[in-house]
Order: sequence, then structure tokens, then C-alpha cells
Amino acid sequence: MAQPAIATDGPDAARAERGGVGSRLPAFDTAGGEAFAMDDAPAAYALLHNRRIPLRQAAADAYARLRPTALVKLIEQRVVDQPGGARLLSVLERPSGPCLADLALGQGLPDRIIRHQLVPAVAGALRALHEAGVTHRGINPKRLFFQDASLDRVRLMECFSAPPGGDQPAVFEPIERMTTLAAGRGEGTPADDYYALGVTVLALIKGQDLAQGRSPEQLMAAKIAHGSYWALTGGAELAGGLNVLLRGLLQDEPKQRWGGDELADWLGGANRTAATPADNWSFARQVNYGAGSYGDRRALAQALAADTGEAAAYIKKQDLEHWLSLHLPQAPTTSEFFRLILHGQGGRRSDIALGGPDYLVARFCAMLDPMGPIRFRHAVVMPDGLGPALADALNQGPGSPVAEDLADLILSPLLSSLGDIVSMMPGGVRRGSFSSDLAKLAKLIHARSQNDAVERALYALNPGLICQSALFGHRWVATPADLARAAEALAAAKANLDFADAHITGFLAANSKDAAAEFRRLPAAHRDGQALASVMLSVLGKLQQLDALGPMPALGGYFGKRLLPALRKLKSSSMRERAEKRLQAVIDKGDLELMARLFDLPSIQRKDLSGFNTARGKVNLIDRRLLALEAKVLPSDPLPLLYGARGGALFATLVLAAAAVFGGMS
Amino acid sequence: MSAAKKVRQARQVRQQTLRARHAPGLQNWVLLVVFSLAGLGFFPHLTMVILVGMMPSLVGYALARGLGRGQRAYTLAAFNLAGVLPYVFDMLWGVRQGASAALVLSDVYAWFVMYAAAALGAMVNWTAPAAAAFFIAQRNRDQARALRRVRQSLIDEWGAEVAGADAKPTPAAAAAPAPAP
Repeated sequence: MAQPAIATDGPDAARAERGGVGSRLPAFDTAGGEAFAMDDAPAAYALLHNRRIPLRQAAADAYARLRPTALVKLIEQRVVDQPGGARLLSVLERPSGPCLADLALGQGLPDRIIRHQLVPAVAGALRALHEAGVTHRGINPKRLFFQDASLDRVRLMECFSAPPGGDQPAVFEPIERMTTLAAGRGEGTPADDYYALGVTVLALIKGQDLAQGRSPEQLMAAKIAHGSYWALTGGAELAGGLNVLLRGLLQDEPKQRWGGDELADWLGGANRTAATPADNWSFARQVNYGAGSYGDRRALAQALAADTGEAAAYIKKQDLEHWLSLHLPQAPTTSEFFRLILHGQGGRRSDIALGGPDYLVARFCAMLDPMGPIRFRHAVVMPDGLGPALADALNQGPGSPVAEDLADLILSPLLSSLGDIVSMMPGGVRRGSFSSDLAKLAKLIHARSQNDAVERALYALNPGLICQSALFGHRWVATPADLARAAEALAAAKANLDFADAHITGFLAANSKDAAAEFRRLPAAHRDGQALASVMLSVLGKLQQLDALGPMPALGGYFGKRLLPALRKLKSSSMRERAEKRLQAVIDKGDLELMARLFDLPSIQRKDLSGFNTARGKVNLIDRRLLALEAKVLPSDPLPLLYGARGGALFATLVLAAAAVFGGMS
Repeated sequence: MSAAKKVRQARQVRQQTLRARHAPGLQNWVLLVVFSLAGLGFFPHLTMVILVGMMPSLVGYALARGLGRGQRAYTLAAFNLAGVLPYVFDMLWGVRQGASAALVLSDVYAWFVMYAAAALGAMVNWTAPAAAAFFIAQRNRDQARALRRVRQSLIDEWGAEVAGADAKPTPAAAAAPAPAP
């Protein structure tokens, strides 16, 4: 994440105390932040982001690369101190004209405004965004304003503060995304932006709420039954050229929906027609389920997910192969596919069978509606919306049913099974795109015994989310380097640093490959404070080195205190004394990387134990030898007999030689 | 002592023990008889003196048993020969040159010298193991002392636990901080 400047002193500090903001501007609020006027910049407004809602990082980064368009410009971003904690403040251009929704209320907007101002402006903004690789996912009448009172220039509000689609009423979402949790609608595709544009144009023409009090499920049913165009126009065809535009933009099939090129042609006056809607979702034969009869796969999926007990009973009663041949002949007919649906076991031997009703229904619904959301208990989310949905669910506090269901979803092999099913079904998304959303998850949470797996998933899927650990309180911790600095500050203030926090280890593992590798070595990190401290030292040491963070004597002292008891437990006294002397020197330097390298505790302890065992072996050997040496030596023992005989022989030889010499001489 | 040396020593003891179980080989006696007969044929008087004078060695060799018997027999024979040699030299080059065996053997002092020398050899055989035992015990004591020093240094380095519950570090080592429990 780009590091905005932190205003901590000077004129900005006074502003920073109240966030540098003036009065509230609720019209510019989003699901991710509150808008305020800027006292000293009437042409700008400030958006104070919610700490617990992840920033759409890619969209925020794309803003820097965008050429000028109808999108409001991002002037600056900085972190400001607030009573509830440091928060990100984005300063954006402020349109002073009225909101298009307010202008259109009751009577609708004139044709010329829509044709000559709204559509070209939004089309240009979308094209720029899509070229930068991001989607807007927040196009609706309340996010469109006139630049000023002259009403000649339309501005589109920013799209990075809220989860994608999180601010959208369900009616602005295409069929496959409209019944999900608001935060779980997902990044989507450019086609989803053009759909939202189509609904926006229709809403501004009609000047009324197109939902008309209907629930998302009712709206979905209407769109499935009649198509979005007819469901939203109320069956009345609109006259004029806008009709063609709307038919093109409101195509339910994304491949047939108008995109940037078609829109540009239409704006240029070319004679474009909307394609006849394709029918890819009908059953070959109607399915009787419950009290109803279903001709559309998506509708049946929705009905099944509403009551998993009844749905599972229905599914288990069917002969799946026969059912598919009757109703869904385009589905695969291999035994592997059937096993995947019924038991969640694919070709991989390591797959664990998941036979609970919720899992079975989730798989069956994925088969019926491969373009639609994951439907697992309370967790109805698009695969590309898992991250924001998880962040939102965890924000609701412990015990949130959605959070528990999402955790089960993430930690179980169900996601892999769903990916397999979706990729095998015609019309399903390519495996690559589904898997790319889960690629980070698979790497980080492969060891499901890790007790921070959910947190790893949270931060891996939400790169714009700051560390939510209570340890850092009100600090802004957006990167591992920030975490290291915050930890140093806490250690210097003699705060109780407890790294056994799933948010800390999850944040580090998700944002640092080195950290992820270190934590993989430690399956039960939270159960062993000493081992976790050792790993944290290694992680922070690497961060200190990679990010050139400078000496960290306070953290050095903290880790030194934790290392000392373990070093004092070493059995070798020389190793102990040497280690204690070296530790003090390293603490004074504040070099965590050096400390981690010199005091690799597991390695030191292994060496110590190995030395101890060797010494013990030597002592045992010595004791045995001493027993033998201290035994009484008798002349009748073999060795004295042997050596005595040799000695005597040697002496006899000398005597004989002397006798020979002297006897010969005489 | 190095491990290789210990192994060599143990092997020698084993071999000697095995050999000691059997009586001396017959071939040695055959050789003795042959040489005696040859000697009697060519140098009858000299051979007679040697045979009579070396009788204790022959008896000792015949009766020798146990570890190192060959060397013990050698010791006895060497001392015995040391007592016989002067008279042999006498008969060859000295005052008794060309004398008969009866002349030499009629000298009681000759008997005394030859057999006393053999007795000295027997005494050496008898006392040598005790002397060896003394030196071995001394060497063992020195080795034990050195090993105890090594053992203590290991205890001082690694703590009493390395040697079992009753081991104690030296006072100097005990003064150093012990490992935390």
C-alpha cells in the first residue's frame, strides 16, 4: 500500500486533531468512509476511511495512473490521528452541483442530459478504469453529481473506499451477484459496470426506485423470469434511441451485454442493435421441487439454498446420473463428477469427503449456477468477494454466524471442490480465474492446523486492510514495516507486547513471504510463547534488514528478556556464559537481524542437547573404565602373567648376553 | 591407552589363553632328541655336559603350563644356560679344554653354578608377575586419576545431571550460575 504522509505536527496537526475536516457531507458517504467538508478547500472534500473496512487497493492505486475523466480526482491521501485511532484520509475533488438522483426524482432526467452528458462521461470514466485493470462497481444515481450549478458536466464519485458493490442497492447488480451479502459481491467484471450503468440510466429516466419495494430475491426472480430489461421497465418498452442502449446494457448474459466498444459506437451515432437474449439457464425439463416447479437453474439454486435440510434430502433421493440426463444433459457424466457433487471428492486422493447437508447443497448449487455465488449456509458470496465479505463479517464481532460460516468455508476443502465443479460445468468460469482468487489462500492456509488461518485469509484477500490487532490499538499498521515500527514504539513505552495474536501472525504471513515461511515452521506457535518469540524475532529481524528500519533497541531488550530464560536453561556452562555476554552486546546494538542469526534458539538448544548427550556418553564410558581400573590387580591375572613372563624373558636375555660376553672374555 | 592398543592386548591375552590350554608340541622334543643325538655323535663330552647342565630347563619346559609358559621356559633356560656357558667355554677354550664330561661333572661347584642359575631363573619367573601386577596397578591408578579429572571437567561444564544425581561439581563450578530449572 502506498504510504500516505502522516500529519503529526504543524498546521496540519491542529486539523488532524479533528481529522482536518469540517462539517459532515452525508451525500458523499460510502460504506467505507464518512465524508466531510474541508474548511480551507471548498472545492475538495475529505473522506475518512473506516479502519476496519479494507481499501480497494488496486482501485486506489489505479487512480494515480488515470487520465482526467469524469471520475472525481484524488488530491491526496494521508493518515490522521482521530479519537478512535489513526485513519486514512482521502482528499477528493468535490462537485458542487446537485446529485442526479435528486434531480431526477419524480420526473426523470431529460433525454439530452442522459445522452449528451451522463452516458459519455460515465463511459469515458469506465473505459479509463477498465484499461487500468479495475472495475468501478458503484455506479448508481446517488454516486453521480453535476460539477456545478451549470449542470453541464457529470462527475462520478470514487470507487475505492467501499467493498466493490458494497454500496449498491441489489437492483443495480446483475442476476448472479444480486442475492449475495453486500460486502461479498466481488470485484466483478467490466460487464457488471455496464449493467449498473444501464440500470442507472433507466432509474434516471423513470425518476423512481426501480426496486419498488421488492426484495433482492423477488427482483432476481423477476429478472430471471422476464429478463432484466422487462423486469425493470415494468413491461413497458421505452421509446427512442435510449431503448436500444438499455436493451444492450441490460442484457443478462455478460457476453451479449454491451461493453465500451458498443457504447462508443452508439455514442458516435452508429446503428447498433441489442442481441436477442440467449437462454443458457433453462432446464431441459422442469424440475419439481418443494411446492414449485422450476425451469431456470439459477432459480432452483436459490430455492435449494433457502432450506438446506430439505434440499439435501431432495438431492439424496435422486439418482444423480438420471436426474442430470433428464434436466441438465450438458453436465458431465463421469463418475468423478458425480463423486465430486455427492461427496466432494475429486481426483485428488487427499480430498476429504464432505458429506454434510450444507456442503452437499453448496456443491449442487454450484453445479446449477456456476456463474453465481457460493451458497453455504449464511455465507452467500461471490468467489471474488470472499475477502471483503470476511472482513465485514469479522467486524460484526465474535459469534457472528456469517463469520463462522465463512471460516468453515475457507478452512474446509469445499472451496476446492466448488472450483472443480465450476470449471467442469459449461458456462462456468475458467478454472484459472476462480483459482486465482483462491491461490493466495491455498498457499497461506495449507496447514489448516494453524490457528490463524482465517486471519491469514483475511489479510491475503484484503491487501488494503490494516492490521486489526488490539495490540496496536489506534496505530496505523498497513505494512509489515509499520508493524515493526509500532512494536518498537510499544516496547519503548514498556507496553505488554504479546505477539500471540492471530491478527499479527496472520497479517505478517499474508504480507511477507519470509514471515509465511517462518510461521510454517511453527505449527503450534500460539501454544509455545518461547517458540513464537523466537520466530517473531526472526521475522522482525528480516523486516529490519529489508526495509532498513534502523536500530530497534527497545525490541532488542524485549526479545533479549525472552531469550534469557531459555539461554539460562542451556546445560553447557561455557555456552551459557558466552551466549549471555553476546546477548547483552547485541541488545545494546538493537540489531534484531543479528540477534535472530546469533540466537537461533532451536539450533542452539539442539547443539546444547547434542553436546550434553555426547558428554553423558563420555561420562558413562569413563565410569565403566574407572570400574575396570579400580579393580584389584593380582599376579595371577592374565595381564600380569603375560607381562611378567615377557619382562622375565627380557631380563633373562640380558643375563645370558652378559654371561656369554664375560664368560667368553675370561 | 589407545583403543587400538587395548584391542591388541585383549587379542594377545585370548591367543595366549588358548595356546596355554595345550601341552607343548611334540615337534620340539623331536628336534631336541635329534640335536642331542647329533651332538653326542660329534661332540659327546660337550653335549653330555650341556644336557646334564640344562636338565632343569628341560624339566621346566616339559612342565610349563598357563599364560606365558613359553617365555617362562625361555627365562629358566636362559638363566640355566648362563650357568652352563662358563663350563662350555672352559671345555672349548679354557683350562678344561678337551676334558671329558666326567671331569667337569665330577666338580660339585659346576653342578652348583649350573643349577643355582636355573634356580635364579625360576625365582625370576615366580616374582615377575607380582612385579608386573604392581606396575600395572600403578599405571591404572594414574589413568584413573586422569579420567576422574576429565569426568569432573565434564560435570563442571554440563552440570551434575550429566553424571547422575550423586555427582557434584567442583566448588569453582558450583559458584558459577547453574542452568535455570
